Amino acid sequence: MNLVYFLVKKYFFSIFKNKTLRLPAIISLVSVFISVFSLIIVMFVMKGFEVKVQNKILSTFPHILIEGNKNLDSNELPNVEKIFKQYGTYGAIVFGKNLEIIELKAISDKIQLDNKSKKLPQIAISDLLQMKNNLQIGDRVSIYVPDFSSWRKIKEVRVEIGKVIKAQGNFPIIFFDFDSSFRLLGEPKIFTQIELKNPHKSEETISKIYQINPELKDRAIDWKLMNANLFNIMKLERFSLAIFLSFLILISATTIYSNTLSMISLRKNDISTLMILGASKNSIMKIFTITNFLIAFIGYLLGLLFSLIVMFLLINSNLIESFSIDLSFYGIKGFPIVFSKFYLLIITGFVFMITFLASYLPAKFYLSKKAEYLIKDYLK
Amino acid sequence: MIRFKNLRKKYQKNVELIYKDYVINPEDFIAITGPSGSGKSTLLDLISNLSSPTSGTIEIFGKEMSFYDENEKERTNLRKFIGIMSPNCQLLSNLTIKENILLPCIINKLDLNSNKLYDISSSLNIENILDHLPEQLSTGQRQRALLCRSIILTPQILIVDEPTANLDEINTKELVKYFEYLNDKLKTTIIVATHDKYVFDSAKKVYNLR
Repeated sequence: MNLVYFLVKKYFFSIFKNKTLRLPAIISLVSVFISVFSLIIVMFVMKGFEVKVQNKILSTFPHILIEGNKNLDSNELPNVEKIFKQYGTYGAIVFGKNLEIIELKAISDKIQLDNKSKKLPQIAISDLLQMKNNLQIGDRVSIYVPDFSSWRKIKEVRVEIGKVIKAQGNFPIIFFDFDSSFRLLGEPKIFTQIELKNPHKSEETISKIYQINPELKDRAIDWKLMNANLFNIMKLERFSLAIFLSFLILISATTIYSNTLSMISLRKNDISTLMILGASKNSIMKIFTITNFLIAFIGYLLGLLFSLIVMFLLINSNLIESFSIDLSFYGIKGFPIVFSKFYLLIITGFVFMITFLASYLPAKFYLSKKAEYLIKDYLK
Repeated sequence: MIRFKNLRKKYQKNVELIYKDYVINPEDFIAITGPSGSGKSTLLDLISNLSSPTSGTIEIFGKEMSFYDENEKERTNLRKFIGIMSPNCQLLSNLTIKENILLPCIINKLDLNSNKLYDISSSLNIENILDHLPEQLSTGQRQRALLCRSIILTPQILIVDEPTANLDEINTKELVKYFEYLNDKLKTTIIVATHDKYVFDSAKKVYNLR
């Protein structure tokens, strides 16, 4: 039988029978449990938020946007799903006394409108614009667009609603046929949009574009750069919360440290006996370290188990909806919580490292004293 | 077997114990006597390598004590050959008497024949209390359990510090009888520090401290 295993088992169960050690051990266990639980839930929610916002961005923003009307060959570039052109500006639409600012878009290959058989140019409107103003297909409206070629700097364009399109975002949009947009809206500012198979590898595609078309250098921007500020803020927020919650782990570690000290103090007699009987300092140190680390380990396991249960309930029940928490502001659906192996590994590593040190250091300091002192110490 | 020369041990600030040179041979039964504070327990600690002398040398099994001090493995090994029964080496309160007795075997990773445990415990009359915890035992039973643990590995030397303190006459006689049995039959060298006249009379040699 192994001495360390034998005495760790004996000492661990005796902690909960000993009046002096029981309460501090329970406090340590509960504090590690709460710290791990909060850290896991908060970090998984932050991860979920990041993933949902990222998905939202990927479905709304172009993956790569290049200023200018450059014809790129998708076969020459890696990771490209589709390349199309986009025209974009802002204008206004008037309903009675109300004026609504709108986004005007024309995307090649995406919006097909039948302009040949109609008297007025056809447009498509976003479902948001339709809902807000109760517009119907066939309605004729006037839109006002910038026109820097005339002294009025503005011009009116009469159009007919030909389609309603479900569009992302919280801003009303009017879509034009790409070719007719040149005629109707004046000299356009055109961007080339690239849709990627894997948007996370956008740098690879951009560098190839620059390699083939050196004149486009610094004119391409990907979705990450477009939203860099948002991602940085989210990263900062996540980092601040992680630092703050790590203090909980540090506080738990101080209770583990104090437990180990109390246990050593109560077991000086045992240390003396074990040393006289021939146990090495190293094995005695292992006994005290492992016994106290086990308390933290059980707290960790409980924290992990409860956080996974809570995560399951949040994903599979309408708990958050029943609290009427409105997440529509962020434009995301469902409660943002995602299991992250990476965060779990970081949290586990951090908790284990801190609680192990809290269990190990008092034992190490005490047992680094001379054997003579350790054998006589309990008599003092 | 054990030889000490010019042995001195300083403790507190100005107190120094000076021991006369002595040789302990195999199968000796030596009583170390002297008044309180004369350094009996200190001498036992020095011989057991639980304490280091201020000056002088102690030789045990043909090697100087410094050899064991410099090597943790050798020091741990030495414990197998020396059984110690002293106030510094008590029963562990969380362990049953059986587990306490088997502790030296666990520490030295040795398997013990259960017959040996039964033989030793029954010869010390503690075979019925092996599953008890130390707190459930009388002082006499506890002393016998400690003796049982100190001889479980059949040590060549048994070092005992005040074994009969707090024991009544019957328990004292039983314990001393067992020391005699160990010395005569098992050829164990016994070094015992004592105030007790009964123990003193049973010893073959006396090392007197003034």
